[in-house]
Parts: sequence; structure tokens; C-alpha cells
Amino acid sequence: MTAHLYQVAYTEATFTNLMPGFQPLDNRANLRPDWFEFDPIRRFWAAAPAVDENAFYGFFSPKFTDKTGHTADTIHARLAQQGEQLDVLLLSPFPNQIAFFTNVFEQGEFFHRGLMGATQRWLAAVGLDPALASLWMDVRQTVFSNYFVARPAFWREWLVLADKLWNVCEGPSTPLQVELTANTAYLQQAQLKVFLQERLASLLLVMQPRWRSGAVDPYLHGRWPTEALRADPTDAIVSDALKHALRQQPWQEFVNAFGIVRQRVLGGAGK
Amino acid sequence: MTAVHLHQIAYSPEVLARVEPGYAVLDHLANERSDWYELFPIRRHLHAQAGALDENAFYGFFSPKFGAKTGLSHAAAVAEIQAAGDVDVVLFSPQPDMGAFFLNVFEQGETFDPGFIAAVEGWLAHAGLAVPPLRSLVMDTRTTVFSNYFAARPAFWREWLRWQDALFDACEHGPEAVRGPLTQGTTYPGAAQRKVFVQERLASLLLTLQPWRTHAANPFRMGWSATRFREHPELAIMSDALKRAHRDLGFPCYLKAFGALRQRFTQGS
Repeated sequence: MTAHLYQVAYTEATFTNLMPGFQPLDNRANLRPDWFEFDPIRRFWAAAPAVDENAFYGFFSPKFTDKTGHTADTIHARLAQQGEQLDVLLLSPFPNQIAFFTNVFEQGEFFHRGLMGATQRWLAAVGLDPALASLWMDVRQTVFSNYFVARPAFWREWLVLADKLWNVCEGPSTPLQVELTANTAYLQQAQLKVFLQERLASLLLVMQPRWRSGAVDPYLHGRWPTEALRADPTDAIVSDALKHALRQQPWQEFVNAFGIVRQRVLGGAGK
Repeated sequence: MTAVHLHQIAYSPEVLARVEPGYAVLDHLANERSDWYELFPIRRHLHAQAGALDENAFYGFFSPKFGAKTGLSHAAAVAEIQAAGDVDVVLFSPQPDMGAFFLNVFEQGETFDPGFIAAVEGWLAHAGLAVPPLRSLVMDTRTTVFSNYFAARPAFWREWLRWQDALFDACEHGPEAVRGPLTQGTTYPGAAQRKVFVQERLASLLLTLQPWRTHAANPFRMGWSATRFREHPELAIMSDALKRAHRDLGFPCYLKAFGALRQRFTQGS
């Protein structure tokens, strides 16, 4: 199973000093730093390159291994095992962020106030209707940092969504455009759109359940944010398992149990 | 509309008089071979009906306690089956704590009857049925069957019958080394023989080893066990979710967390 792995190279240093097994996605010009990795990835697919329809493609920041503990070998090994049964393989970092929130938008709202509402308004504006507050995502739908590999068919669907976001943000000034391009407190005042673009793959996976997704174990090298979770990540793992269960069988008992764990861990911070 | 044929086993005139409307009667008034409990009449019925069942229909054979244990009427059970979608087997297993806190139904059986797993594995080896070590199997609500409370299409029942026949043969005619441990009395009221608890676990074994498509009625709304395991329902629900995730995703952390929850339960008791 072939995988074409790219490292987004923003500088000469990252262009020449690639992670082993990665080829550069040249973004040294960095013409639109306000879009972070989204701009070079979108340009790659917008150019309609000749690709291998059966292969997997992925675009990773230089921090990939630091954030996840995984390498190119991890990806190739997993695809060798299971690639035939997959369209998308996720390699998301931040296991606690995967586990304790109902979905990536609720998680985003926790850190970037206004993301959920802005995303819902953007969805309405572009004619899409998933109700974000009712979505459940587990480890097989949760994408952070655009750390995933996928077949070209998935990437083309991603591009459709990506263009819808791009067109609103780059188009005429509207209240929604202003909202999405407003600065946040994160990393040199990144705009809100940055946190929406990195959630598009998750959105696609729940909007289009035909995609067969798998995940590399995010708990194996889990970078836990606190000593307590490092010592005992049971609550996070239970939360993730409950979300997995209730996506299959939406029994209220699973929902209630998720709420019990989350209340214990996050207090009133979640919903 | 999927055809559903649910039977209630009538092993006495009193039971026959109380059969809930909607159920067909599985006549067991003679109650011969009561040492086999429900297996005997179900097995006999399936052998008699071989080739005559509707391949697309669901069949189920329930004891008179089905309603009390599951909280489901005949109409509710039929509705669950007809809403289940494209599956082979629909489960109605009560006592969700018994299903959840153990890795599988054999480990659960071993807890209440030491020697249970060795007896079953002795029989499996004797019968030439290739099964991984029973302690290694992980079962969740999609694969856990108690009391033979399930409805299935004939294809599943045929496979079930093949395994039950092997068990029956071993218990009736097998060598003492195999037959003895299987027919040993237990502490269950009436000193039911161990084979009774083996036969009611074979459906779980098949669902775990073979790719049957299942749907489970929500067991957490059914009757819980009469043991201390019922005292921590939220841990039972979490344990089931962890086993599901382990079966589907295979990350080692899920079983580790399952063990941690069990330890919390043990320490909390």
C-alpha cells in the first residue's frame, strides 16, 4: 500500500531538514501565513495533480513526530496491515482532547470562543446542515492538525469543503467573513478560520459516513497535558470508548456515563 | 416486514396456561431430560423442523421468565427484531452487569463455578473445535447471550445446533474425562449440571468467533443480577464500552482501562 507523505516546508531549514520518509511540500514562499498549512495543501489538490487513486496522501507539519510520537514508518506499517480496508487513516495528537469532548467543534469552542457558532453559520451559508452540537466523534472521526492520510477521493471531497471555506473568507466582507477572519488569542493571533479548516476532515467523516476511517493509537505515545493524566489516563480512555459505543448504539446510558466522567474531569467546563 | 416466530417453552400445564399472547408454544409438557433445561426442547424442535424453516424469518425460544427478566412483552420483542435492520441475530440478554464486568461469559461462569473453563476447553479439544483460549476472548453486549434469549435466522440456528449436538454427544456418550467435568453438579438451585451453563454460552462463543451480524436490545434497561455487581451500574456501562472499543479498534489501552475499572469495583466493594 503506497503512501505519499509530505512535510509542509515553510522555510529553507524545514525544506532541507525533513523528517525521515517525508518529501517536501514547498511552502517556502509562505504567501498566506494566515491560513497556516491549509494554503499549501489546498493548492496541491486545487492543481488537480496526477495521483495514484489507490495510494494514500498526507501533509504534515514539521512537529508531527514531536506531537504524536509517530513516524513515517508508523504510517506505512499500519497501512500495510489495514490499508485495504481504509480510505482515511487518522494520526491525531492530543488524546485528552480527542476523548473528553463530544466533537472537535465543542473542543474548539472550549479553547477558541465563538468557533462553534461561526462554524454553524458558515455551514448554513454554504448550504450544509449538520447540527454541530449533536455530533459525536470518537477516535475514528477526530482529526487535529490535519494529521491524516487519505486516498485522493477523500481529498477531493475535502477540497470541495475547503473551497467553500476559502471563498467565504476571501470573498466580500460580510458579518460571517468578519467573524471567521477575526484574530484569536492563539499563536500570533491566528484567525478563527484556521481552527475551522483543521476540523474540515472531521466534519467530512461524520457528514459522509461512507468513508472508511481508522486511527493509529493516539494513546500509545499520548502526550498528556497533566501529570494526573500521565499517571492514570483511564478516564480519557473510558470517555473515548463511550463515544465509540454510542456512535454504534445511541443508548442514553452511554451518554449519561460520558457525562459522569466528563463532569468529574472537567467540572462544568464542557457542556 | 420480517417474519418473527417467537416460542415460549411450556414445561408444565401451569406454564402452558400462562403463555403470553403472541407466543407460539414449544410443547415440553413431558419435560423429559430436565437435566438439559431449555436446550432439550429447542434442540429437538430444530432437528424436527430441519429444512422447514423460513430462511428469512427470525426464530426464538424463550423460557417463561423472559418477560420478567427482560421487561419486554412479546410485542416489544418482535418490534425490536423488526427494527434491527439487516442482521442475523437479535440479543435480549438480561443481567448486564454479568455481561459487562467480565471479559466474556466463560470467565463469568468460572467466577461462580471454579473449573468451568477447564471443563469447556476439555470438551472443545475432544470435539476438535478449534477455539482460542477462552480466557483470551472479549465479549460485549453485541456478543453476550444469557439464557438463550436471542432470536436468529435459521442459518445461525443451524450452526448453533451443530455445536450443541457436539456438546450433547460428549455429555451423553463422551469419555469420562470429558463427560465427568461437564455433568458435575453445581451450586445452582436444583444442583443443575455444569453442561447447562455451557450450552447457554455457546451462542456467545459463535458470535465471538464467527462474523454473524447482531443487534442487541438495550440490556441496561433489563433486569440486573442479584449479586453485588449490580451496585455499580455506571462502571458496568463503561466496561462494556471499553470492550466494544477493544474489539473494534484493538488499542491495548482499552483492556488496560477495563482492568482499572474492575479494580475500582473490587476496591470499592
